[in-house]
Formats: sequence, C-alpha cells, structure tokens
Amino acid sequence: MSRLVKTTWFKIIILLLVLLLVCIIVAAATIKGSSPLTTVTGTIAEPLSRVSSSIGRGFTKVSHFFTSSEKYEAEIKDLKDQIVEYQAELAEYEQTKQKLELYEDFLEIKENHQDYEVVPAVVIGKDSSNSFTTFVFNKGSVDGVSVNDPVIYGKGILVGVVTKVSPTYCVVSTILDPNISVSAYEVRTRETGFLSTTTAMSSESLCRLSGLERTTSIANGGIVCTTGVGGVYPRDLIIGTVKEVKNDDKDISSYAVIEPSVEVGELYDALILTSFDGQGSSSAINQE
Amino acid sequence: MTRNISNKKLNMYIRRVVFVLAILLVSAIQNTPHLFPEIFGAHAFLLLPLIISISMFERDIASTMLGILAGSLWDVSSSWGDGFNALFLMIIATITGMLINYLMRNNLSTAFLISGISIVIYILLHWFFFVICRGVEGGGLLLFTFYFPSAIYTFLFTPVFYILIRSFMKKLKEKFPHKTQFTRL
Repeated sequence: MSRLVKTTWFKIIILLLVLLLVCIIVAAATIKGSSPLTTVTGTIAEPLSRVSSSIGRGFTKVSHFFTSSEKYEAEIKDLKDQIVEYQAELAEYEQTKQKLELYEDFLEIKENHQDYEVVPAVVIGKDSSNSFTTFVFNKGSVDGVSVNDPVIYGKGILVGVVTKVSPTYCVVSTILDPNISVSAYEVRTRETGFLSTTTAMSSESLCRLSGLERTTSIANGGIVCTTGVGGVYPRDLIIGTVKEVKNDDKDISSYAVIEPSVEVGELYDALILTSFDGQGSSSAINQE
Repeated sequence: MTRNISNKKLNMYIRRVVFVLAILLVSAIQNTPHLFPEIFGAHAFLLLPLIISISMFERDIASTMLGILAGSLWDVSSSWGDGFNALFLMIIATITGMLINYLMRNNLSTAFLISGISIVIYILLHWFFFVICRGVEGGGLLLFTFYFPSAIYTFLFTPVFYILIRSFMKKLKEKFPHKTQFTRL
C-alpha cells in the first residue's frame, strides 16, 4: 500500500482529484453555477452540440416518412430517393418558416414591450441525467445572458429560467422542474399563488398553482400569468391554463392544476429576456 | 526493436484518438434531444458504460483523463451540480483501470459487474444529492419511476461498448503488434 502511495501516477490522480474538487467548489460558490473546466469544455464542444442538434431535428422529421414494399423494390427506391430530396427542401423551408415566425414574434414583443431586451436562442442540448426538462441553449454571457434571465416562447409564454451560464451557452430549467417556483395569478379572479410542480405532475407536463384559498373562485380554463413579484420574471407572462382545482390535503388551502401553454418537451427555440423594467427588484402585484 | 517501439506508440496514439472521438460522439448522442430514444421516460446514460469499457483497455492515467473529459462534456448540459459527473467518471475510470490491471480479468463478465455496480452507485448518488437533499416533492417515487428504469436501460449498452472496443483493440494489435507490460486482451 505504501508503495502504491509513492508512485507518480497515484500522486497525479490525487492532484486531478483535488483540482476537480476545487472546480466544483468554484462552481457552487459563483453565481454562474459553472466551473472553469466545464466552461472551457462546453465552449469547445458547443459547435458539435449544434451539429448534433440539427441532426436530431432532422431525424424527427424524416424518420416517419420512409416506407417499404417488397413487390416493387426498384420503383420504390427511386420514389424514396425523390422523397428524401423533397424532404430536404421541405425541412429547409420549415426551418426558414420557423425562424421567420420566431422573428415575427420577437418584433411583436419588442413593439408591445419597449423595455424588453431579448435574445433569440436555439436548443442544442438536454440534460439526460434528470427527468425534468432542462435545455441547453446556444447563447451565453457573450450575448448578454445571465443567471435568472427568464426564457419565453412566442408572444410572451413563460418557458423557464436560466440556471447556468457560460460564455457561449446557457442551461435553462423549465417550469416543469420542481426546483423552479414562480409567483403567479389567475387573470379573471386576480387570485395570487405560487406556481411550482411535483415529480408526478412534471412527468405529465403539468404544474400547480398553490396557496389558493379554500373558497377560491378560479374555474377551469382560467389563464395564469406571472405577477412580476420578486424581480425574476416580468409581469403578465402567460404560463398556462387551469385544468382543474383541488383541495390540498396537507393544509386548508387549494391548488389549481395548470397545463402549460407551451409544449415544453417539444421546444426547439425560444427567446431569452436579458433585460426588462423591474428586473432584480420586487414590484407590487396590482399596479393598475 | 525500433519497429516494436514505433508500433507501440502508433498503437497508443490511434487508440487514444479513437477513444476521444468515441466519447465526443456518444456525448453528443446522449445529450442531444430527439437523437436517442427515451423508453417510457427512461434515459440512457451512455457515457457511463463507454468510459468503463474504455478504462478496461487503457492505462491508468489515460483512463482517468478520458473519464474527466467524458464527465466534463456531460456536465455542460447538466443544470445542477457542475463537476459531479466529471468527478464521478474520473473516479470510476481510475478504479476500473486499477481493478483490471491488478485484480480482475478483462472479460465481458467483469464488464457487466463493474458497469452494473457503477450505474447503481451513480443513480443513488445523483438521486440523493440532487433530489432528496434538494427536497424535491415526490423525490422518493422518482427513484423507481426514472432512476431505476434509466439504470436498466443504460446497463443494456454495456456489452455493446465492451465488444466494440475489444474488437477495435484486437484489430489494432494485429495491425501494430508489440509487447505490452499489461495483458489486456
């Protein structure tokens, strides 16, 4: 055992272990949540992630178009080659169309909210080691993104929040992550609560608006939006619709089951709000 | 003798380049949405069996470094605990290399054993640190609805990676034969 300890490779391994532990401590201590090692690795590997993400998007569109028949093999092969060619053109058209829609939404958001600074971003990765939907987007601190920046889709639908940022990419935890909590209110009744989720509800892509009174008048179909309290999310970002209202079995409150307005699991792109009025400061709920 | 040393170095360079490329490719497959199928919500942690298989055929320091590389690539897309995967894969790669070099035979049964134990330890640690310690509601159930199914799904790829790497190492040794201190094949 003492001989093992004296060997060079053992000392190298201990040194590497210490360096990794220092990186972990740095990651935990800094607000960016990212260690120097991961930042460097991620920056270098980010182009590969973009390529693989494009391939992944191609797979989902192309895979279900292929058919086969044993009888007219040669003729079907020719037709399949033609289909692949048309699909490539169609995929390019769809991507251009999606970009155009995204930029149209971007323009409308800018017109309706002059104070919003947004950065369009594309999904390039996903955290495979947790069951809650977490995405990697292709924008980072170089583009003005920072931790706690809200992420929206379309015309102001809340998707999640940036939890880790590096120079060229960021990691976003969505509203289906039980660790994310949002102050929210129902538009018709103006009742406020806090939006979160549980592991069971997250697996069904649902959230809950907790802290409602037993006598709540929130009904199915109600729209839930952010209150703006806390300074992390701006006011009136749409979260989802009420699916049903239940009594909480742990206390005397009620909660509403919320179905998010965006299909979080099928997200390909989004907008990151890097700046808005009231960011970083608490604001009153009823400003009108 | 000169030709023998040259073969040894060529073998080493080619081996390590191929392993790095394999890690990059598998990392991209694992962490890209819609590229690798999820079965009833279970994810495959492909980097785990890959690193274990690589460590069974690589020297100690090299397998440690490859473990760090694979873990860092995995940490890029993780939202919690930056550095956890790098640290875990580094330790697993080191221990696997040491076990194969000094204690155990290099065969498929050993690969199954080491891979199975490593995967179980990984999911338990991940569940404990990032679900239980964070107080996630319903976290206990998550162990059975996500982590264990993912562990089984991941384990199924152990023989795939081991056999591929073993075949590659055999072909490499046939092409660049040399004497080696360690009997790995």
